[in-house]
Amino acid sequence: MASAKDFARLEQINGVAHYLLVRGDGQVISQNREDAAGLGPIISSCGTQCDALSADMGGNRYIHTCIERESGNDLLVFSLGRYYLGIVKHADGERQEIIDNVIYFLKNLS
Amino acid sequence: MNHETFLSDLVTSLPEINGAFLFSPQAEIVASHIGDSISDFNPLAMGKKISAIAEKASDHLHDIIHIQVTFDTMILSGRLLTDQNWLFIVHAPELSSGMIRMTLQLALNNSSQESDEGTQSAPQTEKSAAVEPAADSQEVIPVDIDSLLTPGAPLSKPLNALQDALANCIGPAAIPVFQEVLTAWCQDHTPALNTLKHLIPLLDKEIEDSEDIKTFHATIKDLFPQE
Repeated sequence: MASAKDFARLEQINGVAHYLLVRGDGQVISQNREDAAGLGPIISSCGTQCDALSADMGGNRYIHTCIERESGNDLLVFSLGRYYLGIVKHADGERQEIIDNVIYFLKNLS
Repeated sequence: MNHETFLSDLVTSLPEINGAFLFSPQAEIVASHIGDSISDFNPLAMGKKISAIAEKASDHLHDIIHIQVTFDTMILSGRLLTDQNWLFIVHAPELSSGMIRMTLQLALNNSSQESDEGTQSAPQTEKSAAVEPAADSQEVIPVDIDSLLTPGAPLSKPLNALQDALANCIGPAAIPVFQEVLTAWCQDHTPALNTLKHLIPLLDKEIEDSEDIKTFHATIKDLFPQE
């Protein structure tokens, strides 16, 4: 697992407003905005529920979730084993571009 | 249109869609249409989990409209309807999220129109209610113009025919002009077969020449057999 500091580079991805690295129990490990900490339990709950969905989906492996909002500030949740990464996107950010860039970022973490 | 027919039409509308179901927290699975290609599939558990996610998230996020969960070989897309009911589809990853949103919206619009005509109740949504003809100036979902024209999209055939007819009248400029007019149409109307007629006057304005407009109308008349 990369160090929490490595995740600060997520801020550089175009369209990323906030990020939170959250443990499965909801504890926030790393974030770029203190006022986004309330999202921690939502991210962990979403991640654990979606991990459990794998069994309901014929064993398909869970990769990420998008909670789409009318405001455009969608919440993306990526599975990282015992951790979940939450990304709040800017309203005008390109969702698929952000997803692709975050997956690329995660694959390149040492 | 009953729920089963609605779901069956939705699943058969695109080959990438493997199944669809309606979930209600009270009635649980209202209806489902699952293709043979899916095995070990538990719609009830899926509905419960997604609605639990939405309920938890609504503590902070008050404007949730859609939840999409991506797995390695499949995607589960859930559209929040009225009264915490959900319309879910399971589809292949090849289908873009823009295409999925549009397909769901079109299916809901069509079912809403048919239920207005006196048939059985179909899935109701605040969103679809907002795009009835009288209120179709309210765009609810951002529409990806390219997706509208993509082969296989519900409106791609008539829209591409309109673009071709426009090109016959004004030449190669028809492509950017058509995109611009399509954008304006989508801002004022929900993209659907019954709102296509509102696109024609916008295209007429771009042709200008009255003879060319007549030619344009003659070319496209087969697109509107009821008119």
